[in-house]
Amino acid sequence: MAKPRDIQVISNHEVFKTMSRVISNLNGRLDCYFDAKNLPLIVKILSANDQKIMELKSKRGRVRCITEIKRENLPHCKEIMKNFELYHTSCLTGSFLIADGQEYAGYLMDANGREKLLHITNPSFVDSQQFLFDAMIDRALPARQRITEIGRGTEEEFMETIRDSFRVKSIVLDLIGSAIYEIAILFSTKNSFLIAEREGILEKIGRISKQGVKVKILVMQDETVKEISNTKLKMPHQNIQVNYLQQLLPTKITTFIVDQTKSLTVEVNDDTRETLQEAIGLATYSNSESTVFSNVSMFESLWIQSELDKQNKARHAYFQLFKGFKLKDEVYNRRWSFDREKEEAAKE
Amino acid sequence: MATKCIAFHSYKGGTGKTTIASNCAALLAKKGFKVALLDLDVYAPSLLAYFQRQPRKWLNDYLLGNAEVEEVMTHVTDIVEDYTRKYDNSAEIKGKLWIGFCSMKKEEIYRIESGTSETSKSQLRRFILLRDNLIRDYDLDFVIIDTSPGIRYWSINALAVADTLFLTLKMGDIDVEGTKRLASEIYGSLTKYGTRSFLLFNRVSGYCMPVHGTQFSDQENTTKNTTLIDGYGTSDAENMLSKETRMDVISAIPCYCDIQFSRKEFLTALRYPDHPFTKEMEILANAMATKL
Repeated sequence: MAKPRDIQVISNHEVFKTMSRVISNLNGRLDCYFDAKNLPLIVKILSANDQKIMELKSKRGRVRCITEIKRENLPHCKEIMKNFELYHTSCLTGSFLIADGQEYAGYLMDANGREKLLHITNPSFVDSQQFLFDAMIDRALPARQRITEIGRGTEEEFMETIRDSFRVKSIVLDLIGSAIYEIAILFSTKNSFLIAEREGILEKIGRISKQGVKVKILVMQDETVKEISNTKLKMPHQNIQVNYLQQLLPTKITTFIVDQTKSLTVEVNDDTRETLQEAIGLATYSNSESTVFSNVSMFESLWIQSELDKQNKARHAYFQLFKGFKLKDEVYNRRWSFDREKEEAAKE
Repeated sequence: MATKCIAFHSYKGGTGKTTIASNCAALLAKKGFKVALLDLDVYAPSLLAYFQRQPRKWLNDYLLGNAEVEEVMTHVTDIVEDYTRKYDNSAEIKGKLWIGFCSMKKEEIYRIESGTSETSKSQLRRFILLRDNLIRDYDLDFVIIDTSPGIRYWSINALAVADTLFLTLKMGDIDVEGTKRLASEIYGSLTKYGTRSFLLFNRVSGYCMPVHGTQFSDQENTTKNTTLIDGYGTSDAENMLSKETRMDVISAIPCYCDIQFSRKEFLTALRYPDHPFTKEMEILANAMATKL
């Protein structure tokens, strides 16, 4: 039977304080289950405890959240995704959080807008709620998948060919700004990367990555490009990864893919020009699933290829270093000292 | 010669891409090229029917990280040699042929299908690694990929990894709108990165040939019938589709009833060296070797 101090009912202004205190005492795991209407509250509580959550994550703690992801609450979801593993479930009601599998905080609001928090530490109750949460998460959809669905489902499918270079630039900036979880960009030439830097596109990418958006950039290998990407992208922004193409692509093209829902491919007409407007040719902007998927697939293939090339380069350099050492023989014919000792002991 | 990586794809199933890919691969090996044929029709694999050889391990095992390249690549040059010795009075061939077979077992297909986005990426990584290892260690001239039809995860990945795409179309059963869409949304996207794409027409009417083993007449002596597709004659339809899709035609292979209605899938190009289908395959193989 639960002891009286295992259950506390907290009202009004103490609710926020208690929830914050529960989070600030976390040691390893936080699981949140919030319905869509209460999402702003959890965002507020998490923002107030930003440092604690970061600290928990750096210690490999786990922070998970289930909610109903809708187009209307995407900004809040985006906020939560910065630090949480976010999942989606439809028609969800009720809001609670479980800290370290030991404390349960259930949030309620009555018809008059009065807030209440049920704070329970009774082990068997918390265990049952934890079991419920784990079962829910097994059936929930990862946020990325849900966001892709929303992106595809709410807009008419389109594929647009654009000739106006000013409009292309504006779409590039809007597209980057609209990213929720992921941006993939391919610059098939060094100059298109340099133009993007001059036009403030890299700066915008840096800003959006600070909001938790993961950015992958694939660019032609070049020393200037490497320097810029190190100083302006990789070093200041931990969410940005840059890989280098070792071989020229047969065509000059720049591709932007956002959240795997929209893609913009821009043909580079004159790579020697200074500005984006002068350099680019036709652009294709689309949210068609097959077009975006083809671009994603091509980007992923090139990304993987660039990683394999990097590994091969390292392997090649390693073998060059030990050239003439018959590395293979050494590995396979090595006689370990304890083997020799055993042999010698047997002879004696 | 740099290795050419060619994917045979189609909008719908039953267009003959596996028959053409298998026969072309075998002919290229017979001609002295080193070829690897990969069954990436992961949802409905069928290469096994043509080569009747049990692999040590399946491509599925490799993609899931449970096998090495040499365990999944089955050396089948002896099959090409046997056919050549038996039906073409030639004892030796200079080329080589390896095949990566895909498992037909339901559970193996589910295992490939049911991955998360991370495991799918790791499988794509393994697939690209396979292509690279084959090119490097097997010194190949051709990597030929038989893909799944339509727009599915593995068909698009196979197309993205290849440097040349053949969109196989079966005459008389062409979904013009679907093909146009496929061409613009998928092939159009991939060709922007430098991938080359071609139309490959199959079962073009008018060359229906009788029984095996007869002396086959030249193509010039046969009469080309006209099959109507949306009001177009055969060659008109080819031109129309080529124009609509902005893709060149690599080959138009006539319909041969004896192949179409044969009870068993086999390597016609090796079994019947004088069959007009073999001649067509030779033309296609030459185009693959010289034009791409």
